[in-house]
Amino acid sequence: MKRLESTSALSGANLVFSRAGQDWRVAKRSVAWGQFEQLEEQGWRQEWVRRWTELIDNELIEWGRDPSQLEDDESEAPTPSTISRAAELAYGLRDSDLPPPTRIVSTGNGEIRFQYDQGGRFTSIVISNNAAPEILEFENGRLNYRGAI
Amino acid sequence: MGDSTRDDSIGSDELLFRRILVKEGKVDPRTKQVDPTAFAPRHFDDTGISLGRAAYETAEEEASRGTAKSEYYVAILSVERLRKFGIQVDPKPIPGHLGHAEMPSLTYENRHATEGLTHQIRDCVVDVVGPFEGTTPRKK
Repeated sequence: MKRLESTSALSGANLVFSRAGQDWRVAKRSVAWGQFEQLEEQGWRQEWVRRWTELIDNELIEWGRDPSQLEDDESEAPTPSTISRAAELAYGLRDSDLPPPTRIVSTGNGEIRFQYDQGGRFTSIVISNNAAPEILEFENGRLNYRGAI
Repeated sequence: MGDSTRDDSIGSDELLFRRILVKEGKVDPRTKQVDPTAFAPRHFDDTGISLGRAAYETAEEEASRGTAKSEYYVAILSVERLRKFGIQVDPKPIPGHLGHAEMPSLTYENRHATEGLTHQIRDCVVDVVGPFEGTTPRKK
């Protein structure tokens, strides 16, 4: 299984996506690296949970309360169903001990994205209304991979 | 402005504005770091994404073109940096917005193929200002 390692903007620890067949899957961070205990000691796990909760509360729940706030004459808001699916995924990733994204954005085209922004390396998890969530991996602005989660 | 004899080409020393809806979460309010999706084409961007020229208006005036009751950041882009990446910017004056410009390489139709380009454009941001209020009455 090939692994793609990214550096979390928050922690400096590694975020792992695993490839299974043709698809990348967001996988639980490898305990084999011996970092889990170290992260526990440093309080990073709690920090990740805190940040996930902040993003879920400030963005997804707030958007779900009133999706029209994401709409203007030029921007299409995500549907309530898309917001709900994004929240489910966020809770799942948080509860799988995965690091939080740098930000959660509404794209203006009806999508929600979880953006892991690490400078030259950039990973997007894309949630839209009519398709399975996708993962996109960029390296210095070049799209390296696009596939379903 | 509005002078037909004026050379309307965009100089490399110019700055451009891109309006970003605050609620979409594309600008970190602490660091002012901008997400690449701020430069993604939307459904009406048939001929390129829209920008405003700083030579014609202030950032606050650009933000005011947004919808009333919404708030906007304005990302300021360097034309010199855009051109170093080979990104084309054309003047596209329209009635009421003589400083309107477009990036023709980014259209809604080719949005998937050009997604990497939005990352390069993000690297051309020299500042982010705002938020400012939009003042244009909503059409829909």
